Amino acid sequence: MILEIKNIIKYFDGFCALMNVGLGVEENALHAIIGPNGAGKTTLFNLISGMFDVSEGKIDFRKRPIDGLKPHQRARLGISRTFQIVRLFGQMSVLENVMLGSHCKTKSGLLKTFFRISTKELEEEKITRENAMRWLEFVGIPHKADQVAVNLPHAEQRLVEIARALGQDPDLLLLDEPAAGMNPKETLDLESLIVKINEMGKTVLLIEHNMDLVMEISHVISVLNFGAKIAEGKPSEIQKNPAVIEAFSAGYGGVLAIKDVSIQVNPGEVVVLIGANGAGKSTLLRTISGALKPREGQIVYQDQKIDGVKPHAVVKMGLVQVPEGRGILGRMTVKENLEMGAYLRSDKDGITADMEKGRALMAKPQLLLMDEPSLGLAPVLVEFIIDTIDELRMQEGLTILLVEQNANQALTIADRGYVMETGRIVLEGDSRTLRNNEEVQRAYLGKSGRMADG
Amino acid sequence: MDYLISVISIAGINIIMALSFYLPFMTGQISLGQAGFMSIGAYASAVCTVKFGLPYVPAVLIGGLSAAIVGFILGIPALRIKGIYLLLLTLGFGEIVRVVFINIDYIGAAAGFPGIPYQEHTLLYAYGMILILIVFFNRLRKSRMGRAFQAVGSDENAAEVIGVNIIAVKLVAFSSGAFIAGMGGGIFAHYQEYIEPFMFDVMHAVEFIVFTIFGGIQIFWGPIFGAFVLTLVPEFLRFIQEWRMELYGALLIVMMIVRPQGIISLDSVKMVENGLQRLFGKKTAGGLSPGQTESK
Amino acid sequence: MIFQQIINGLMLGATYSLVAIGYTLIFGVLGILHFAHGEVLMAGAFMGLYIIAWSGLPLYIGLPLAMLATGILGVLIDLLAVRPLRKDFHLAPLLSTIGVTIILQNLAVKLFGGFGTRFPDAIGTTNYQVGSFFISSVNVLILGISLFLMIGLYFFISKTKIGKGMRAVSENHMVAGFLGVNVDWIVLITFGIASALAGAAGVMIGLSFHAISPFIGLTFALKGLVVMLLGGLGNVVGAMIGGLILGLAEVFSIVILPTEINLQDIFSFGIMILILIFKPTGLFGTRIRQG
Repeated sequence: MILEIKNIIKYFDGFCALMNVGLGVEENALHAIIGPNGAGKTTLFNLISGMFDVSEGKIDFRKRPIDGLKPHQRARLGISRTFQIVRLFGQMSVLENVMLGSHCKTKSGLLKTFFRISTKELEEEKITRENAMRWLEFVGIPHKADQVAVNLPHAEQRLVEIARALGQDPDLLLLDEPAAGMNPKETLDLESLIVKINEMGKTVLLIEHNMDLVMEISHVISVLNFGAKIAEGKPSEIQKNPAVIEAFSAGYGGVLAIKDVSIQVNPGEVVVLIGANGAGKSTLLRTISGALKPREGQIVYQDQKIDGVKPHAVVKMGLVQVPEGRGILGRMTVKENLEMGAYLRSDKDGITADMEKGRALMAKPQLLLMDEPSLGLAPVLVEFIIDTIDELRMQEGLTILLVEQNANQALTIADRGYVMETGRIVLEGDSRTLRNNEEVQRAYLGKSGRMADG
Repeated sequence: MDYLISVISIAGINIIMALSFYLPFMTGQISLGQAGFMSIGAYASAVCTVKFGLPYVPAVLIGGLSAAIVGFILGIPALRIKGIYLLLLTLGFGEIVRVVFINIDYIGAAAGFPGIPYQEHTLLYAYGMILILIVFFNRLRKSRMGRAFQAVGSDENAAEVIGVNIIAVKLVAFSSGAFIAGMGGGIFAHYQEYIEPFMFDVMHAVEFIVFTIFGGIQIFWGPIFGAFVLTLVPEFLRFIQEWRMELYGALLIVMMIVRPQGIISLDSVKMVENGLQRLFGKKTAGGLSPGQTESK
Repeated sequence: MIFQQIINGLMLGATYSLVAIGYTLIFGVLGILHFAHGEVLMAGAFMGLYIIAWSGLPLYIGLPLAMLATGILGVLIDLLAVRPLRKDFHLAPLLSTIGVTIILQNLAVKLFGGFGTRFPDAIGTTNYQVGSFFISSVNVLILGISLFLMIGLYFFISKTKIGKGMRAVSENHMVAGFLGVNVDWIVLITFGIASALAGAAGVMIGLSFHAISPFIGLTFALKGLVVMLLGGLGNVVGAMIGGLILGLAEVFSIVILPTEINLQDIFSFGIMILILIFKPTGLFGTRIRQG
């Protein structure tokens, strides 16, 4: 076992990000770590690479404890990583970035640089350069060597980061969501790259949200949720594991997420879906907007069946989902962009307005789907959002179906609501009834817990 | 002619000071304390020549070393502090040095330290040192440590995870910057023949920053260019001289709005380098870049 | 005697608080430390000088006018030196405001000379007797005005729509923008308010010290920053309390330390350095900013 994580606990300012997590990574394995947002995956990586210290517990690398070692010392031991959001040294060239990977394996210091006593430094520099080029060839972008790193397209930047990590010649490579922001072709190439790296004899520890990728190439999968490990095993086992299914809220390779769900939304209403994480709310929304296809049942929009219809076609009919992520909802953005017929696409690094595509696609929106618009925002901003939703309904005449953690706030402007639990509707009614319902109060109207990143 | 020499000499000293700022700046450490280090170097070297009769070169070197030692000590708490806080810390340091020197009678206190032996070849020594610094920075640029410096300046935490010992890098950069500043102070003292604490105040520290920001932050030619131009131009345009500081201020603002990377950018230098390569058909110091063929 | 010192300390501290609050507000909405804030204070002091001393206007007109003038200066600084900046260079606001500092300070030296200028007694100094202690009317006035301004600000931020906008922008300026808050406008107003407060502080410093010079900018800038560090960045209440603490500490340090050592000015430097080294997040902790 090349890496052993024993009972680690990690607190941040009183908030517990990881509770008693134990994990063993076999040498040469391709080991994936999956879990919903906030499960603690990146925190785990940060602990392994040394950016934070554990609050309790031990981490052993090759049977020796590495707690207390600084990140650069761990790098020297043979642990390298990439980051969830690409962290290249932007102004340096691609080649220089990759050459930095070798830093921990080389020795020329400042004085030697200046005095250049022997030819050793020049030799070392040449070797570093050649190695870096070879890694760039390995990941497939040798032609970009001299480009300034920040100018590369996103997917290639990720490749540079991987090449840089490989430049350290690591035994253990931690990859943090390498496929994020990649299109299907890029993802497939990445898949083969990761397998190639593993076949070279390197142990790969992989955090990923792309389930197809994970299921396809992993030997072992560990599942984290809310800071604890809830399952571990081979891909086929994980897919069938009920605890895992419950933790995730989307159909991952055959997992049943929602069942027997019937809802109705009338024109001009604000309807809210509330429920715990994993209840199926987001899945429902995405099934309506066309991102997911229902196994059974119908979705009727303005007298037309839209189940199984693709998102862009649905959008043309006036049914728009405002994307989740960082709680972005804009009265101005949505309004202005709706007027201009633009379509908003959000990715990890922010909002991009896909104007050209949008212009062609959209008719005047009539039904808005919103998935947790206030996620992660401070109370004063949440107030703004709720007001905005109200205005959208009143001034623009929109109908709104929204998923909200801040159920309390949402119910103040909603007409009706549905409560979901483990994929089913368990309660419905007008907002006042729901607000006064004790069970709902207890379960969903309290403050939701904060979640760490990753 | 004498006048020209004196202006160019001052420009030389300013170049050295700008480079002393640039070195820690590469690692992301913005120091308003270089004037303070300059002051330490100036006084230390003056004491060596005046009170102990040492010759010029050792005195200046001792000035540099004294500053470097203080720089090392200051550099340790500076490790954990970034951005404006470091600016404040170094500002505070500079002020403390000034106040301390004002209160030490041995070196003349507020009345200043007169009688420093004049070094008539200051121009040579200053530009000799600049030449050495140019070689140093150029070699640094294409070396492992140079990349490490840049990485630390770009994203410290990522650099550490890659394997760079950021503590060592920052400390070395900071003390080396202090060393260079101290040497600059020594050269300055033996040119002016008289020094007093207020010559090394905050505004001067700011000037060195202005030189670099104006000249260009991406490569060491920037501070050289900036210091040279900003020293010379006010001398030759009299009306500017009076409004020099206000113009520096306006320059900072305008640069930030219009061209934050400074006048000399990495691209401009690369263009020049490529042009020179084609002209002379030789390798530049530091080896070929990938893709370039061995022979011409 | 102690009572007198406490009053002095509170008075001094109140002016520090006003400066620090300005820093805090700007840091809150813009995420930058407005390096030129001290110079704004200095400008306010001189503008107060002109308005009150040289035009003979009474204080209750003069002070608001000076605050208005300083507020306008702050708005100009935002429009010319902060707003046009590129967002991609994280050092730009810092360097630009350093530029503003250089300009303002050197201009002031040209206009007013490098030495102190006497600030007139705009209000007759009467001493009130409380028990066996004396409080001068200057003390009362300064404490009163500062308190008034601080309370007014507090209500402004928590109760008005603009105040809500300011709070939203300091939470997360990107999201606030998406939500229809005009971020540029909010930033402008914040600059105006912060600068007006600094202007008030400047006038009051003139009143209490009876002399001002073009160099007080840097001194008070630093003290304001120390207070902000003490109180925690972005923490308005912390700034208020921190200011009072520093004022009291300084006054008592003069009392305690021998007078030959002219350490008063670097006293705050010393504190700042200690804070930076040992507790960079301030005594009350920073408020975490998103976005």
